[in-house]
Amino acid sequence: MYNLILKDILIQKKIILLSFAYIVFFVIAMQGAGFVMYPTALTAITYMLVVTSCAYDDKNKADVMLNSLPIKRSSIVLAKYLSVIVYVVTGTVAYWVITTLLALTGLPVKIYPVSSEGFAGGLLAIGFINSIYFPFYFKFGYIKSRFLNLILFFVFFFGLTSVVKFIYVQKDTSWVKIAAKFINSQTDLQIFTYIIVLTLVIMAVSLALSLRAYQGKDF
Amino acid sequence: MEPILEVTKLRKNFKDFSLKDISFTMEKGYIMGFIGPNGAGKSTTIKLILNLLKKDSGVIKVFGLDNLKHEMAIKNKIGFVFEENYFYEELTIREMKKIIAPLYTNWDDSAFIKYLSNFNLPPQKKIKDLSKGMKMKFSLAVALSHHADLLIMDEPTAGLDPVVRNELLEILTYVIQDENKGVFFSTHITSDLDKIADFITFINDGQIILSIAKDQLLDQHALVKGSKDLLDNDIRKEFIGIKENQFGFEGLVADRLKAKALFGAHVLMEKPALEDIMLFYTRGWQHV
Repeated sequence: MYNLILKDILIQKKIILLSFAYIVFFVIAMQGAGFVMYPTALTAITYMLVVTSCAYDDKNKADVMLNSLPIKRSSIVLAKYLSVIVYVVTGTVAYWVITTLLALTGLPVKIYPVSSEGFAGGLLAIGFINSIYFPFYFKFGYIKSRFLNLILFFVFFFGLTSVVKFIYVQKDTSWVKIAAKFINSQTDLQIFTYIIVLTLVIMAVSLALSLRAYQGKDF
Repeated sequence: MEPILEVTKLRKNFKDFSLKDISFTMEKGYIMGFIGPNGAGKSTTIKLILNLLKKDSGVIKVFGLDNLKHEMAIKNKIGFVFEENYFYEELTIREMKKIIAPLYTNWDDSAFIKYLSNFNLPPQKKIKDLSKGMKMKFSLAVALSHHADLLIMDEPTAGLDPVVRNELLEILTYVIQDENKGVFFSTHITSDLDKIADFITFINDGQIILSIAKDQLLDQHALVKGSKDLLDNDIRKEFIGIKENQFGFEGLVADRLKAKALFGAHVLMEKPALEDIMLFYTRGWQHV
C-alpha cells in the first residue's frame, strides 16, 4: 500500500512542483477569495493531484501490471483514498510555507493564513469531491470519468455559491434560525468533529462503492 | 507430483468471442508453448490465469492451488512478461524497482543488479527511453529477481529483433534447468518454440486443438507433398489441411504411418514445423 502511494508521488513529481507554483499564483492573484483562499487552494490542488495520478495510471495501463503483481485489488483502491491524505498534508504544508515566506517579503498582498476553519471546510469539500469521483473512476476508468471533472468543478464552485445565497435569502425562516442557533451553541471543536465525522462517513460509503466496482472489473 | 499449471473447463464469454471450456495441464520442469493465431484466446487465457479477467466457469490451479483462493501466494511466485510495456514510463528503472521489490517476499536485490548489468540496463534510465527489447529485458529481470517458479509470458518476442529473441530463448533454457520451475510461453512466432518448447498447447477460436509433447507432435504429423491426381474426396478427408494448386498439393496428416501406408512411395513426406501445423489446423482445406 505504501509503495502504491509512493508510486503516485514519484510519477507526478513535476506536477507536485507545479502545484506549489499554483499556490503562489493563487495567493497573489486571487486576493478576492478572502478567507476561503486556503481551503479553495487546498481543494483545487488535492483534486488536481488525484486526477493526475489517475491519468498516469490510465496512460500506462497500470491496472494490468498492478494486478499481475501480488497486490490485492482492495489495496489498489485503498491506496488512492489514502493518497488524498498525503496531498492534503503536502498542500497544507506548502501553503503555510508559501504564505509565511510571502509575508516576510513584504509584498503588498494580503495573506490569508492556514486556519482550522479553513482546514475543516477544505476537508469537507475534498471529501465530497473525491468521494464522488473515485467510484466513477474505478468503475468506468479515467477517460469516461473525465466529463465528471467538469461537472464536479461547476457544482463545487457555482453550486456552493448558490447554496450560500439560498440560505441568505431564507435567513429569516425558522429552519435557518434553528440551524444557526445550533451551530452558534457548539464549540469550534465540536463543529470540527462533526465535519470530520461527516467527511469520514461520506468517504467510507464511497470506498465501499469503489471496492465493489474494482473487484469485479476485467482488464 | 502436482502440475505447476492446471486449467479445467475454463470458460469466458465476451460479446463476440468465447473461450470454450478449455482444459490443459503443464508439469514442472518444462517449457510449454501456447500457440494460436491472433484472436484465438491466448491472451484471454493468460489474463484469466492471473485473474485480470473474471472467469465465467471452470477451475485454474497454479502450484496445485486455486488461483482465486490463493491469489496472493501464487502471484508471489509468478513472473510475468507481456508483449506491451505496462510499467510506468515516467519512472526510471530504479524507481520502478523500488515500488515493485517490496511486494515480493523473495525479492533478491543482488540478482536484480546482476540482471541489469547482464542485460545492459542503466538503472537511472527512464522506462520510456528504453527500446522495445530493453523493456522486455527489464520485465524479465523483474520476473527473474523474485525467484518465480512459474514464468508466464504473453507474446514476449513480438516486435523484437532476432538477436534479442535469441537472448531471451537462451535465458529461458537456462532458467528451466531448475526442475521446479516452469515457463508458459504464448506466441504466434512458432519458430521460437521449435527451438525451446517441450510441450505445445494449440488454441484456435477459443478451443484447445491439441496439448501434447512437441517431439510427439512433430513425429506423428507429416507434411505430404504430391501430384494432384492422387487426391479424391475420400483421400482429402485424411488430411487436417490441404493446399492445392495447379501443379500438386501439400497437406498435413495427423498420422504419419497411416499416410505412408496409403500413399507409399508416390508422395514426399516431410517433418512439419510448428508453423505448418498451426497453419493447416487453422486454415483447413484450401484451394490456391
